Amino acid sequence: MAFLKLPFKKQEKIKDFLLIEIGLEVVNMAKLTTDGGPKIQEVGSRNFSSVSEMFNASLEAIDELAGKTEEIPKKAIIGVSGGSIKTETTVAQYTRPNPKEPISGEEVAKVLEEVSGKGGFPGFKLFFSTIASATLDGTKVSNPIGLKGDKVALSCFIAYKDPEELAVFDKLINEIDMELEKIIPTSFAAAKMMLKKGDENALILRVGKGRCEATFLSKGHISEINRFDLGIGSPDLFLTGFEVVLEKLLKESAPELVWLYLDNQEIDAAELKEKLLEFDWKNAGLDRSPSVEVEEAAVKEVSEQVGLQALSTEAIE
Amino acid sequence: MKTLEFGPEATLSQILESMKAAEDENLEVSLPKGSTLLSNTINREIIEKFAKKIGKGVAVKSASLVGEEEPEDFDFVEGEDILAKKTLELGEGPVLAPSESLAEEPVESKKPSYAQQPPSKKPPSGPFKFLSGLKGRKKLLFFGAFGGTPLLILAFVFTWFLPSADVKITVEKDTKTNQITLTASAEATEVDVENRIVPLKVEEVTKSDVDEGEATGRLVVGTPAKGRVTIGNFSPHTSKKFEAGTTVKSISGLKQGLEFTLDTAVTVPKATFSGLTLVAGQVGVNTTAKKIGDEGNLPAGTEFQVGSEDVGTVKAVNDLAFTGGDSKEIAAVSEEDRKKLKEELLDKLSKEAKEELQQKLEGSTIPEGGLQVEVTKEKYDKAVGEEAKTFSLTLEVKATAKLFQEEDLKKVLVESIKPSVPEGFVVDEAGSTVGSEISQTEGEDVEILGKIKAVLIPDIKKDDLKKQLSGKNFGSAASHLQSLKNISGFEIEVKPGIFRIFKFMPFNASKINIVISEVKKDGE
Repeated sequence: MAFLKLPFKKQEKIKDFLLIEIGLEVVNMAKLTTDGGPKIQEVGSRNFSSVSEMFNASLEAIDELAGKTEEIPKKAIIGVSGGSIKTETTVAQYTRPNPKEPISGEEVAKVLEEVSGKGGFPGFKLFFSTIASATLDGTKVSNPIGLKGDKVALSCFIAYKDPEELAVFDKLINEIDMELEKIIPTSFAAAKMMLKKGDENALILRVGKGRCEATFLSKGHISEINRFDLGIGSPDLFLTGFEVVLEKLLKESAPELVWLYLDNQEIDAAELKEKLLEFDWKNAGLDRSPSVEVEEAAVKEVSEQVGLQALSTEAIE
Repeated sequence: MKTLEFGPEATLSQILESMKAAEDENLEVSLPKGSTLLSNTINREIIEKFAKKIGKGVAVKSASLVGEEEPEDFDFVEGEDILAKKTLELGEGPVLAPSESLAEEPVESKKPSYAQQPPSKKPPSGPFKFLSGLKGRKKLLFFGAFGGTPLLILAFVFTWFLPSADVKITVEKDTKTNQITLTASAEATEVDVENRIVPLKVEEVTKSDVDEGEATGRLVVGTPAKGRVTIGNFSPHTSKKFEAGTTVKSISGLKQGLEFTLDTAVTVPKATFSGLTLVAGQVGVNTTAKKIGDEGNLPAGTEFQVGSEDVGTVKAVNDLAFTGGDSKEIAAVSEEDRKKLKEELLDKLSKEAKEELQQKLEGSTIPEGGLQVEVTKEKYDKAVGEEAKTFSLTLEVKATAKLFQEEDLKKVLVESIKPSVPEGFVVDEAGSTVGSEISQTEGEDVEILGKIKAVLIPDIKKDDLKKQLSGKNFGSAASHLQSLKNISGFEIEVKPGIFRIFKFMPFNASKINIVISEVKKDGE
C-alpha cells in the first residue's frame, strides 16, 4: 500500500477533516469542513485529569461527536498541547543563487530538512516542522513559496515529543480507524493566529485548572513552547510559574501582550486576569506593563474553543 | 532539614502548599522515581523560585536517587561523567541547583543492564588478555572500533541492499495529431527519416475455404387442376377448329378469369336445325389450368369462353368439377443467398490473407488500399432456385499486399511532429498510434498519407530522478516530486514495510523503481 500520495488534480480535494484537539485537560473532537473556508460543524468534548485518562476520554468524545453528526470524516488532524513537548525555532538566512527564480517547495523543504537534521533533543522524536514565517528582501511574508527574492530568512519551527506519547496518538488513530493527516502543536497554531493579528512580542498562555502551556512570540518568531503544572485552580501559585516563564522570555524580548485562552469552557479566567493586571511588571524587569487579554471562544454553545479555531485555520494551510 | 515526601499523583500546587505550610527553613522535596512533575525542568524551577519567595531552602530529589545502590562499574556508560555523578548522588554539596541532565537523560535514570552486572571475578586470559590493561574510555574505544565495525557493515548492508521503493508517477498526457505524405519504396532497404522514405515489400498469398450458407429463397411447387369441357358451337354456318393450347377462360361462378388450355386440338361441328330448334354442334375436350394450385378446381357447370370466340356463338361448360389442382411453398437457393455467402467468405479469406501477409514481415502494416484480393475459384453446390435448406461455396482467392514496417512509419511520423512538441514534453512513442493509407501508386513506389496521434508526456529522466530521490527523507522526496512539471500525482511504496518507519527513501538509487502512468489532460 502506498504511504505517500499526492492526489490527482482531477480528484476532488478532501474537504472534511476530523480535528482531534488534545488540550491540557480536555479533548475535543470536531468535524471541520473547509469548503468555503474552515468551519467547525460539531464538537464532542471530554475532560481528563491525567494522560492515562486521555485515551478513553478521546473515545468518549468521538462517540459524542458521532451522535451529533451523520458522517465523521476519515482524515484526522491532531492538535496537541501539554505533555512532553520540546520546540526549537531556527531562523535560516541565506542568499539565493537565482533570485529571479520563484522559491519552490523543494527549496523550502531542503532548508527545513537541513535545519531539522541539525537540531533535536535526546529521547525525543520530531513530529512537526514548518516554516512559521519568512522574510524576503526585508519584507515579512507568511508563505514564501512562489515568491522571488534574493535575501531569505526562513523561521523554521520544529517540534519534538516523547515517542511514547506519539505512540498513544497512533494507537488512538488506529482505534477510531482514521487516516492521520498531520499532528500540529495547538499552541503553534494559536501563535500563528496571533502573528496574523500583528502582535510580534507576546506571551500566549493556554490555561487549564492545573496546567498551563506558555508560548513565546519574540520579534515575530515563535521561539518556544513551555508548560508547567499550575493553573487557574490556584491563581496565587500560578503567578510563580508565570514569573519563571516570563524570565525565560525576557532573555529574548519583552512581551507587549499577555494573551490568555482557556483550555476548556468550564473555567473562568476573570480572577487570573485580575492577578495579571495587578502583577508587578517593573519588579519583573519590564519598563512597560503589557496589556492582558483573554480570548473568548467564538461560539460557546458548541464549545468552539480557541484551540480548535486556531487548528482549523492551520489545518488547511 | 525536613523531608517532604509526595506520591506519584501529587500536584505541583500541593507541593508548593506543603512547602509553605512546613515550619522548617530547609526542606527536601522527595518525589517517586519517574515523576512526570520532575521531568519538566520548569516545575523544578518553580519549586525553587517559590522556596526563595517564602524564604526557605529546598532540595528536590527523586526517590530513585535517594538510597539507591551505587553500581560498581560505570566503565561502559557512554558519555557519562562518572565522578561528577557520584559526587552529585552522594550529596557531597548542596543539591539545590536543578539537575536537569539527570531528569532529562534517560540513560541516567535507566542504566543499561550490562552496566549493572557485577564485575567478573575470572581473570582475563588468552589473546584478549591485553584487554584487562585497558580502562575506561580506552576500553570503550576498543570495543567501539572492533565491536562496532561488523555492526556498521551490517547496517550498511541492511540499508543499502534491502530497502526498495516503487515510485508511481502519474503525469498528464497531451495528444497532438499530424499527417504527412511519405513514400514507400520497394527499392529502399532502410528507413530514410529525412526524405520520408520507408522500405516497401510486396507479398502474395493464396487462401481458399469452403463455407455453408442458409437458403432463404422461396419456391412454389404443385400441380394444375384438370377437367373436361364440352364446347358448343351455335353457328349454323361453319364448324370451329381449336388447336391444342387454346385458352379457355372461366366466365361464371365465383372464380371468373381463370385460364386453362386445351390438351388436344378439336373441331366443333356447326349447329343444325331440328324443326325450328337450333341444335349446337358439341365436342368434349380435356383442359389443364395454366397455373398450379387448388384455385383451378372449379365446380361443375362453370361456363368458359373459348379462345377469342364470342360467347354467344361458341361457349364451353364443364359437366364435372375440375380436380387435381394443388400447390406448396418450399425453400430454395436465391441469388441474394449466394451473394451474401460469397461476401462473407471473401471477407474472412481477406482477413486471413492480411494476417498471413503481415506475419510474413513481422511488425509490418498494410496501409488502407494496400491489399488487393482476386477471386480465382468460385463454386456453389446448388443452383439458384434449387430446392435446398443449405448450400455451400468453395472460394479461392489470391491476395497481394503492399506492406511496410509500422516502426519505420512511426519513426518518420514522430520525427515530423517533434518541432511542434511543447518544451518540457517528449513524444511517448509506445503510446502514440499511427495510421496510413495509399494515396497514389507510381510504378514500384507508393505514396502514402501517414497520420500520427502522438502522446506527449513530461520529459522525466528516470535515472536522474532516481538519484535525486535516493536517500531523501519522505518530506523532501514528496516536495521534489511535487516540484516536477506536469505531475498530477504520485505514490511511493517502500518495501519491506519495516523501512517506512525510517521515513527515508532507499540510499541505493538502483533500488528505486519509477513507473510512469498517464492520465489525460483536463478537458479532454
